[in-house]
Amino acid sequence: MQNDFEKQVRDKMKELDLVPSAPVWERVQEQIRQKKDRKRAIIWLPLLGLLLAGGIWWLNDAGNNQIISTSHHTQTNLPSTQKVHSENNIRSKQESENNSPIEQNAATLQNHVERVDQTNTSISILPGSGKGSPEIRTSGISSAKIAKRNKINTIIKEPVQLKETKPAENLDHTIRGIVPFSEQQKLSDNHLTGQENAQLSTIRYQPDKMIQVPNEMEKNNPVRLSEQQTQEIQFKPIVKNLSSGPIVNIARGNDRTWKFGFSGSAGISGAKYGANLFAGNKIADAVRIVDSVQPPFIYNNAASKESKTIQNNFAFSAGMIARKSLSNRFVFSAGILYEYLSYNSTVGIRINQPVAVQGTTNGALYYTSYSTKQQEYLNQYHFISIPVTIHYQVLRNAPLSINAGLSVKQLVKTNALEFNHTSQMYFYNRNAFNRTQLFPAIGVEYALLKDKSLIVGPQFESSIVAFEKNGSDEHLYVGSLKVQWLFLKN
Amino acid sequence: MPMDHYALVKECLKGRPSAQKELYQQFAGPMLSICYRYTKSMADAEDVLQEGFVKVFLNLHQYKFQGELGGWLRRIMVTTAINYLKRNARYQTDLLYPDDNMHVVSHESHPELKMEARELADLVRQLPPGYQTIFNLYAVEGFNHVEIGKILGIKESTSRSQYARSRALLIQWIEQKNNDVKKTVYAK
Repeated sequence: MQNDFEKQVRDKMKELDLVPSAPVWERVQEQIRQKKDRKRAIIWLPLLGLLLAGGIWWLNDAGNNQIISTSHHTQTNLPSTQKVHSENNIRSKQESENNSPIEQNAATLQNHVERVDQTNTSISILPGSGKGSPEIRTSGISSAKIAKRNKINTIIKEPVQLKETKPAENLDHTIRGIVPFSEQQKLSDNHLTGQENAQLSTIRYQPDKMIQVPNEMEKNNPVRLSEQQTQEIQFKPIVKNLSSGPIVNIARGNDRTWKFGFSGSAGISGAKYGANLFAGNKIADAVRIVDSVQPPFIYNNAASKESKTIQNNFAFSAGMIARKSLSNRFVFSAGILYEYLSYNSTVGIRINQPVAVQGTTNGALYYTSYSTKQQEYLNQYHFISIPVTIHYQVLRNAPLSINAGLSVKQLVKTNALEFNHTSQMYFYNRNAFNRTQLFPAIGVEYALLKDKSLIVGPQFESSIVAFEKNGSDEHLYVGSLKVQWLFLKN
Repeated sequence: MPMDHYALVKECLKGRPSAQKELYQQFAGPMLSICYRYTKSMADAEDVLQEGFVKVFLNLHQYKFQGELGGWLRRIMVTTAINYLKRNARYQTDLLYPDDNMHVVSHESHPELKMEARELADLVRQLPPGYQTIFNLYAVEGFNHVEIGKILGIKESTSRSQYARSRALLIQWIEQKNNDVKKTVYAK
């Protein structure tokens, strides 16, 4: 009966007794040491990333984008230079979800029912027999067999010579036959040499003849067991409680399922005149000089133009990300993030009385564009962003990838000032901006852990849509260190 | 006298190198036997053993003492072996054969296993890698075809048919070997 065969195989396999070579234990110890060292580095890496981002922001804040004014101003008694921050609250739409990993393989193993073998129930370990290693004893095995088992059988001798073939290009095994034993497939407990390993790897199973059977046998599916047969099956218990212990994700190697996780970044952002990052200066507005502080303004047509000074400022993002492997090298990811961008611009004094701007009286904050005492204004932008990215692993043996993608950002809230050329004033106008922005992005990333659950790397994005509707051609950009932490099934 | 498993695990969790070595020495032999059955060479078997024990020691804190330590280790070794096969190109191309029109001789009766355990293991190892894995999981580990399908990411029917073929091949080899032994005996 079929069940007897499996039972015999199982019983026979229990008698198998092998001894690993000495270097195995040394390699185990070394690997454990390395993995523990790597875990310590992971704890410190995010801190280093934050320090790096803070350092970059601090360096840029130290005035590396100053444009010297060449214009002349009338002398007035004005307050000294001071930083101005919007008092508007930053409205955050950050969402977070916790996705529990689906432990499909855990369920599989949990459902593996414990089956009791009447003839043998457990492996008991006896002290070593003087060879320095323990031997395995199973009930019902005579001492003679144990003694014989301890002798190492190194070579299988077969009368049939192997008909060695080259690797078949067509792996269609529609014709199969009895595969003769290979004398070259020596299965010894000595380490195979490189040549032997190479030989073993080139050997493919080529059929000699076709085995013809009636189709009815295939239809009857002889391996299907009846209920009675199933009940008669008694196996040795493999595991008793499959909920304990780690469960390795067996299918992870070829896993093409979606993986979810957190994504965050920290860096700097700024604004630039024109979409081309590598050309032009960081100019946002060209202004004319006015000779009077209060309206009606008297314009000095002869005055030279003054450029708005922009300084990069802090940017960060946080949200959820989903990744899916498209092939061994390509990965697709998408997500939803909250993003904060900001930069400082230089404005003049604040005017606290209504001024007609663009045909309407705008009672919001507004500033002149000139002044002998200029001040910094922090322009803040709050986006909900949907990035879509393709990642390409450039190295086969290292988890280093480059990525490119497009991020659609919807402006949720901002306190940025719009410049009005007619009045030469900066004022707040929520309708002044193109709220839907497109940010192409490029970056590099490296997976820190073996299971690629922690990915870090720099990324740069720049908008291709002008931020303001008034044609000032101002574009935002952000450079940051991104960290992604994926929840992987175990 | 060797430590009992509870005390041994406790000592290992404290980071005692002597306890770790003792745990390794107690279970390395049986675990290597498992790895040996799934791979094609002793070098690969020892690689799997090494990888498996690294996982054991790094995740020993997850062992809840609710089952035999040997069973817990065994499961780690089996999953490590399967992951190893999937990662290695040497096993990849032949890991699984497609469901084609291969015909199988049904063996309702089977020969007696008169050989040594090592010989039987070597016969199993001569199966194509995909057959070898399914045969080990079904016949030796005791998983059913539904579980095997989930583990390997294949259909249950594929697991059944491939196991049937592997079983038939193995039985043919065993019979051939038994016949060769008889011929040798008669020749004497």
